[in-house]
Amino acid sequence: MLRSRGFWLALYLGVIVLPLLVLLAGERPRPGGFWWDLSLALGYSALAMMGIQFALTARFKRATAPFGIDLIYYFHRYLATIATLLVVFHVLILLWRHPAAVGSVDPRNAPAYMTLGWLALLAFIALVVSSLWRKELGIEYDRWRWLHVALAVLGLAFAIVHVLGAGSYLESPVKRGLWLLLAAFWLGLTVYVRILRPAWLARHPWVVTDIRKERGRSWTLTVKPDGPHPVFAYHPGAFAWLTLRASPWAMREHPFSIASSPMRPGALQFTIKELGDFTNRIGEIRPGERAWVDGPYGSFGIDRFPKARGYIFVAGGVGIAPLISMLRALDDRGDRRPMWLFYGNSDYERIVLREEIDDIAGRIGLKVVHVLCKAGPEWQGERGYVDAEVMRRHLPENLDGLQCFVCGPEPMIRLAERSLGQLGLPLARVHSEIFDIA
Amino acid sequence: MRERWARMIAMLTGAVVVLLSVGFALLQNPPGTAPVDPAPASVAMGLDPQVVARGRQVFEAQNCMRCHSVGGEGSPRSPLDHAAARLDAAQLLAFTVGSESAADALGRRTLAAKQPYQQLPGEELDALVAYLQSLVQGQPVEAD
Repeated sequence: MLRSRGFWLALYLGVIVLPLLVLLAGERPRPGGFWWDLSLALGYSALAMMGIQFALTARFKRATAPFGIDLIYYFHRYLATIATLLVVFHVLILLWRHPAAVGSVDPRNAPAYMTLGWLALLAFIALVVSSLWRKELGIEYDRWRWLHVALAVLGLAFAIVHVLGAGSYLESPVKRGLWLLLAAFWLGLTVYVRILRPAWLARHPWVVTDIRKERGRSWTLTVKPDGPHPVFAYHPGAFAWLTLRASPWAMREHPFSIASSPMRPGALQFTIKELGDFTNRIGEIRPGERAWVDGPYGSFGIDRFPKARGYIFVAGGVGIAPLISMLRALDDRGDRRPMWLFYGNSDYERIVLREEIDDIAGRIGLKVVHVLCKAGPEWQGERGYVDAEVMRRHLPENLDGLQCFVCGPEPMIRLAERSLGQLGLPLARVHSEIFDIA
Repeated sequence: MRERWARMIAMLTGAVVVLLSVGFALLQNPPGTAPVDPAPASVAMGLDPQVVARGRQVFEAQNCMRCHSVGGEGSPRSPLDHAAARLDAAQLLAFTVGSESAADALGRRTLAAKQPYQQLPGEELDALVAYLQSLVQGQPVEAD
């Protein structure tokens, strides 16, 4: 696992550094002074980093599996912000040291490649601002996705034309060709994710067979392949991109953990809480409706650690979704290892899948600890949050060989990591998935 | 933890890229090399200061500094400070408008980029050449 992580990190660094090295190879232009060459190098590097964003979000199962998709998206966010900052530095250095070379911003007095450079800068800044502050700006998620893809493709295309037009390092046809090839590859990834992959999905339709109300404003949706194609094989804890009431090309897919057990083939289940624009209307879905399922994705799950002596699960609310898949699988497999589930909810009536979890606990070696933060006076169990005190009361002294899986909102994950650390479980054995990656 | 990990790798990438860019700039500009070597001082003779001033106007109006620099102003990639030391008036004109005779020295793309300047009025081109001839050590001749 670590080796493949290393491999992908090395490949990633290579893809970032290579375009810069290509500029240095062969005949180079005469020096333009330190600041001039620094500014241009920053511009080229930032563009290479922007290109990587297309690969990061292209959902390559192999490349994302060792890291987990939530981490890839965090990474995407930070890296794109840094790349945009480098573009800003590229411009600021030139404005500071060589304003005459930058010339007028007015498109009537500037060559097209310079105007496109400015537009690319605006597109990149708009991308970062609309992504980091989407909710504050009141941009609806589905609309934002279209905006995001459009700005990204336009920004990159403009920047490429800017580089080829200004391209003082790209005099040789070979270098120009390499950069063009790189740009074609990045844009090709968009074509793959937005056109080809949906086309494949369109030939493999699914149908909703059941929709069931659960506790805590949640719903369990069951889907089956609508055709001869089988349900893909997946490991418990994986997730899939689900599209309902829209075409696979509409960019209306949303990521959801698969809640069903892979030991029961033929159908997939998703347990979804009413949390946003899309999920608030999940209860309106009726059996017989078309569904599109792109999966499986993700690396979160017990099957990466089959030799664990036992498992600790920590869930918050509907964060139970990927964990219930693991619990169901462990139940189906008749697993007898010691297991604990710390399950945080507001009150007893809103515990999603409460009855089924109790059933599973009755069959396998699972100890369930409900932790309620708004329980009434009649509640006899744990109160507050899943912290070190709560865990200490239920876990054994010796945590050797145990692996822990946490799924819930971010503060809960941090608290669980800290608490388990205090109890002596190293961070490397605490695996988490944040369910709000949008 | 995972978010911190992602942030750390992203920041490390940024740092690596900035360091590489600095290295790139240093490699291109080894410390101690003077960016401008002195031009012979004998070229600025016998020019009409008014024509030279007019040439400077044309030089600015045509945005020549996007690709060229004079006295460190403009794009440092192709400084024109001592162009007149290497080229006579006819050659300067050929380089300016991308004539065939300059094709080998300029390269295909630059040649193509310069074609539109053939449309400039002869008076402006002459003034531009005079201005280029006036450049000595990066300092244009002052028109009184």
